[in-house]
Formats: sequence, structure tokens, C-alpha cells
Amino acid sequence: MKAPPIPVWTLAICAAAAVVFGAPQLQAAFVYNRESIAAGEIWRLVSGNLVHFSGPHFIKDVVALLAIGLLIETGRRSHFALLCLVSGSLIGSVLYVAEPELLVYGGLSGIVTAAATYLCLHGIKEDRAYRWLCLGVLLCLAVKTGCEVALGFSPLPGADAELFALVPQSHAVGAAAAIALFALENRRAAYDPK
Amino acid sequence: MRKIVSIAFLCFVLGGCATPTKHTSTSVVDFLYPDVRDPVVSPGTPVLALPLRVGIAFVPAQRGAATSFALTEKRQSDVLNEVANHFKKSPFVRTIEVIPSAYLRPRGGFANLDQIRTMYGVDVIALVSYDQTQFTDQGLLSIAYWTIVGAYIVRGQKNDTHTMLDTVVYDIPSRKMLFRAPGLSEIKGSATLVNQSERLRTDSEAGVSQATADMIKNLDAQLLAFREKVKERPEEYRVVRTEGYRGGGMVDGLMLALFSALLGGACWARRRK
Repeated sequence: MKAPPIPVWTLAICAAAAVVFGAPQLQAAFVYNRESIAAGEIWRLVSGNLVHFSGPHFIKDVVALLAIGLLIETGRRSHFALLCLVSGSLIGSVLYVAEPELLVYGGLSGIVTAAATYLCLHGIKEDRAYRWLCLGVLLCLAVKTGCEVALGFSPLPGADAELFALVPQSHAVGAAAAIALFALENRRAAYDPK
Repeated sequence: MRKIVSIAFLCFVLGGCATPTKHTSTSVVDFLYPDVRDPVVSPGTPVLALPLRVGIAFVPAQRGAATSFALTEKRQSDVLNEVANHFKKSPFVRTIEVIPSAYLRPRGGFANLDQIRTMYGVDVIALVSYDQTQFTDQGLLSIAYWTIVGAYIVRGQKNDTHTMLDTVVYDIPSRKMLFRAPGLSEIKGSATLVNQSERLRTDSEAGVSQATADMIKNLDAQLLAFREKVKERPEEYRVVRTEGYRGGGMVDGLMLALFSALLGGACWARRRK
């Protein structure tokens, strides 16, 4: 029996987030900061996803990414790194264009939402019980994200309201990136039977 | 003696036949523009420093005016806390201070709001006013009051309670109204003659609760509309971002629960393979 692959990208992203969380200088250099991005520091559009503003913020995001990333990478999905890169940069870019009031942004949850959506979309193709579970999770994520975007904030407890405001658009953009990547993969598979 | 009893009974019944209307209200206009001889305040361009520090208070009633049954000081504080808790999570709001009505003077005007601004450090204030009218009519069943026992057991009084709560949000430095949202309620009920005042009080309280829920719903919609207005008309509203305005993407409890289920499901599915 073949050993499952090591979830390299998941571990790397979580380790990077841990290093950034432990080093305030790195946080200052990596965080999404609208004024710095306007001044040319465009890496912040992606690296902002690695910055967290509090212990609970960091732990919840990293634990969720570990669980979902582990499932994707051990399930031999080859595009996890691409998904993280695409969703991370899309989240930063969309916030830059659509949220001009937002000065600073950080957090991995947009990428986590992208990963979960991607995993569930692939799960729909699998056997019956797991397929229904994936469909249910997708539906819950869609309703939750839709409500958050419509309201402009999350009605659920969880965000450190004193430290930062929840930006639900990041979850919507992450999910959209995952759907786009999944559609591209399917299209490619249709043209290339191998 | 029989004559006196008969007259007293007649007074009681005729008194019950009257159709009293109870009206209580507070007015933002009376509070902000108390003296009509004053020149009209011309608003400036508001500079909104995001995230906002917001105060929320009930408009004080005029001295000597009747106040609502339902809106006691405690109930006012509960309503304000309910609204404040709903908007604490908004990315535009840093803090919401609930301001007790004792800190506002009747007809205090913007001078009073300037004092509140200094005391609480708020730039924007949400002023909540109310208007409640209770109508009482008598139905056909009220004829049973002639039996005296009927006044205790027959619900011959028909009550209508109309309530409106209205929140107006002002930028204090510029004197400009940013947006407003009303909350409406209409309650119909009936009561026995003896139970009438208690029933009216209950309806009054229920009216305030329903109107508060409706107002919060409308505030959500108006806040979104205001956000669009700010984006569309930058010449009318200047937005300044302060150091504290930061946003984050965070996995919440629901997402963690969903992902745990997914993890469990995936492990189970793989073991079956």
C-alpha cells in the first residue's frame, strides 16, 4: 500500500503563518496595508493572508487550514499550492478594489474557505455518503457567506470585534477562486482523457 | 342612598363607554431645533473617521409631557443595548456608547450634543425617538358591563396600539443627518373593563419590542444604502481611515464545525476504500 504524500504546502503555509505571527517586524512587512500597496509594495496583496491579529485569530485559521489542507494534499490533489496562491492574491486584489475604506487586512480564512470549497467540489464526485456530506457543507458555506456579504458583517460569534472587523468578502472571493479552479480542471480533463 | 348608588353606577358605566386615546411621543426636531427664531443650522461636509465612535440615546421627552408606559428608563436602556449589540460587529463601528437619557436635556439642541461628544468621545450620534398612540373602543360585548360581573369577565374593550421608533443618525461636528430608519408596529387586542390598564401596558411593551426589531432590520438596510451613498458621492461625505480600521478573515465556530464533519467524513470514506 502506497503511503499518503506529505502535505508539504499545508505545513509550509502554516509554518509561515506561525513565523509571521511570532515576529512583529514580519507582520509589519507582510500585512495588507492599503497605503503601502499603493506605494508599490504589491506583495502585501498575497502576504497579508499570513498575518494574524490575535492568538485566537491565528489558532482558528491555522487549525482549519491544517485539517482541510491535509485532506486535499493526502487525497493527491495536485493544485493545492496553485489554489492558495490564486485565492490569496485574488482576495488581496478584490479587497483593494472593492473595499477602499479598509486600511489593514490579515487572516488565512479566505484561503481556508477556498480550500474547503475545492475539497467539497471534488468530494461531490465520490461515493454516496461522503458526497452528501460535501454537498451539505458547500450549501452551509454558501448560505453563511451570502448572509455575511449581504449584512456586511458576521452575525456569528467568533471575530475579535475589539481588534478587527470581519471582512466576509474574503470568504466569498476564496470560494469563487476555488470554483474557477475546479471548473478549469474539469474542462482540461474533458479535453485530455489521460 | 339608592339614588347615590345608582348615580355612581351610571358614572362608572358611562366612564367605561368613553373612547380615550393615549398619545406619547418625543421629537428629534424639538430636541435639535428648539427655538424657531434661531437661524436654520446649515450642515457642513461630514468627515467620517472610520471606524466610527458612535453614541446612541433616546431623545428626552418635553418637560411635563406624558411618557410611554413601556419606555421606562430601564426599557430604554435595554432597547439601546439591543441596537448597540447588533451594530458592534459592523466594520464601520469601533465603539457604541449607550448614553443615558439623564445626560440629554429636553430641547438641548446641538449644544447638548457637543457636550455629549466631549464627554463620551463620540463623533456620530444615533438619536432614537418614539411615537405611540393607543386607541380604545368598546365592542358590542361591553353591554355585559351592565351586569357588573361582566366588567370582570367579558372582553368588551378593543385596543389598538400603534408604535413607531425612529433612529436618526447625525454627524455631530458637521450637524449633518447621515441616515434614518424607522421601526413600526401595530397591535390589536381586547380586554375586560377591569383589566384594561394592564392590557394597555402589555400592548405598549409589545409594541416597543416589535418596533425595535423592525427598526434594527431597517437600520441594516439603511446602513448598506448609506455605504453606497458615501461611495457614490465623495464630495458630500469625506471618509478618513484611522489607524484602528483593520479587517480580518477569521474562521468562526460554524466553519470549524463544518470542517470537523468534513474531516471525519473523509477519514471514514477513505477507510471504507
